[in-house]
Amino acid sequence: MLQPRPTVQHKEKRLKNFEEVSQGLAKRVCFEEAKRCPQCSDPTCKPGCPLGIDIPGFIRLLREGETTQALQKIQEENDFPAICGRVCLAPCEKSCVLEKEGAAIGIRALERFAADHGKTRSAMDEHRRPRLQRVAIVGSGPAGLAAAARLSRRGYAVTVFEASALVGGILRYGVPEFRLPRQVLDQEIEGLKTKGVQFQTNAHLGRMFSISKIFEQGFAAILLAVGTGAPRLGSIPGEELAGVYYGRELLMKIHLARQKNLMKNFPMALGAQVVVLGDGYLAVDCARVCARRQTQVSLVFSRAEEELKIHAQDREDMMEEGIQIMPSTQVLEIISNSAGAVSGVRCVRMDFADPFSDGNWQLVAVPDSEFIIDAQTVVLASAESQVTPLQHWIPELRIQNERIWIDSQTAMTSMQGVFAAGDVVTGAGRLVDALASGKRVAENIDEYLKAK
Amino acid sequence: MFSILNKQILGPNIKRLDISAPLIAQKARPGQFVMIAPFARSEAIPLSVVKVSPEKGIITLIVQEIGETTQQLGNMPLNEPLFSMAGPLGKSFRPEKLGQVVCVATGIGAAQILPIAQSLKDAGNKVLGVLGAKTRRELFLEPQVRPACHQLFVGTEDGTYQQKATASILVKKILGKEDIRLVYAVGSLDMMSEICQMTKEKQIPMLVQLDFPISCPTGVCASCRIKVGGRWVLGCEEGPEFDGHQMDFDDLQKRRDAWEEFRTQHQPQEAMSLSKMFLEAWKK
Repeated sequence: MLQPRPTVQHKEKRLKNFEEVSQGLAKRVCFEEAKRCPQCSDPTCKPGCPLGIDIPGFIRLLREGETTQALQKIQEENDFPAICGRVCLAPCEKSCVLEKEGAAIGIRALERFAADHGKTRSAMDEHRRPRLQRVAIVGSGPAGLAAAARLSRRGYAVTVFEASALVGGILRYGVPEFRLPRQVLDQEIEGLKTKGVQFQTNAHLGRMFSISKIFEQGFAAILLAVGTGAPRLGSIPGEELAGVYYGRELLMKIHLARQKNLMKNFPMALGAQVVVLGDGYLAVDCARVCARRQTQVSLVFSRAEEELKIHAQDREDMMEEGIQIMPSTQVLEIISNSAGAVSGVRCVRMDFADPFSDGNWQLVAVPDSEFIIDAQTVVLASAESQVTPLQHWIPELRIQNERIWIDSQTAMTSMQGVFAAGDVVTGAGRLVDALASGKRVAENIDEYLKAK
Repeated sequence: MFSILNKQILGPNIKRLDISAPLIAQKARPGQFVMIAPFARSEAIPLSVVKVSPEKGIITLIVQEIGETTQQLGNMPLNEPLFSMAGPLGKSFRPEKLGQVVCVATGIGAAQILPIAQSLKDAGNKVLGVLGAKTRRELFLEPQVRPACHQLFVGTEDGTYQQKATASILVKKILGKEDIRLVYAVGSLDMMSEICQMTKEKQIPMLVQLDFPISCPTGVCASCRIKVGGRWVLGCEEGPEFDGHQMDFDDLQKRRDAWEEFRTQHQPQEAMSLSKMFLEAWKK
């Protein structure tokens, strides 16, 4: 028996709206799927989850019909099951024992079912030891929110500073609505507010306040969770042509325009043929957004087809939306027409070879395999990004390998009392890693403040 | 909460808004801008801060109602809270005492030159202002800029008002007569590139303010990328003020034209609403 597929919007209907594609598992299917879990005595899925959720535990509760208890089991380790159940890459499913048979348990879908149908514990139930210490978190992306939830659970008064007008960071501005509805995100943030977390929007660290200003306000520790900076500019010849967008730019622009109806008022100009470069969620999201504009989309990446870094379910959804994928293809340059706009992309096929006959197989260009894909719009959506502009504002921070340096034991940066978590430390990565890093650093801050 | 305390109509579709924003008023310097969104459903737009009164906690913006958001902003009732305002953003201009300086603007660039000219005047410079426009109707904010300068030269291309000359011709005349220590220009790319040529020959420092699309003011999306002196920079981080002599205006103009053409070619077709259809039918 294979992993069951959640109910999805019909493939033709979904290309005409920006509403959520997957509707989750039906109740009966969910219980059947939960029964399929072998409940290993030494589970391999649990170490696979960066957050360390007790996966067999919550699945056992689910199959007993205790959805609320299952949700609470998840919430012991993960504060945002509704978000994770929708957009996580699910490394746990990769390490499931049934993965070898090609039928891993749909842990992500089960988590989502628990989050959608279970009742969360109310803020009043949580036993809290009130503490006077205040913690400031800069950035309200996944890492910042995870740390805020964890620290408020430990009894600290947490204030989150966000540079944009709305809280959520990359979850709001970088994940399209058909994957994570804004209602779900707002609910999770509302939940944090009821737990006493304060949010200060339109507050940009550097321009509007400094680290020393935060300490002056009486905060005992600061967590920097500002994410990555702008995409790396000028890596492919022809990037300056009209019609070239960056992936982050495309997603941010359509979400910052805040249109009620994106089908009707789309804020960007797209040509009839779009080429998206990249192999992660950023590229796939861009491709799916473009597909909803009735364009012909090709997704080009240099790795092999099975190395596309997305969840199998999302991949199935993507393929249904008519996106053509071109694996093992390296883009050499973007070709312009006489007006200075994009007219195509010159690519070369890649294949594994052993060029020096030393047993070191690597991807190399196949000779004489150059070809041109016609396109009017190119979206550069590789995850590579510059270091955040943070060091302009805080020159005291030590930077290593273009990332903020942190002590591996205490997670503290080179400044006393200033911590860092998430993509700003590791570079652009998976969402669940950012959540896990936020959670881990929250524990470190707790230790630091207890010792103080 | 930010709210509009006072509104003044300065010209056709041009309004001056006094907004209460104590924190921004304390920090804002000339040349900086704010990102402002009147409603939760409207896009945030950048507007440069024209005047600040820190003791009252008020900032003044000048807005030309050309798009959807600017119209919404202009039509906001007094004392109604604005959805969001982030700022001050961008590099600020640091005025020094230099001697004689020239401030040039065309079109709505006059709103951006106003705080610059005022701060230069306050720093003890002799400010010569130049305003240029196509016709008299497109000349904005002349009465506002006049008190910020010691002397103001106004030129229209068709001679409908004052001198019949473009801004760059007026600047050329001034540069020929006077000893100028700094030229600051805001406006069309043609005008800025012409003046940059002149100042390069005479080795006069030149600063320009460029406009570029800004979506997020935090340096994440790179939609404000711009090529300055052969390298890519993020406008929202390092702008809006740039050294005029390092700019390649031809390249910038070429790229801007290409984007303009691309946009007009592939602009998404707006679905026609019922009221619009009715209007069209009625017109026929």
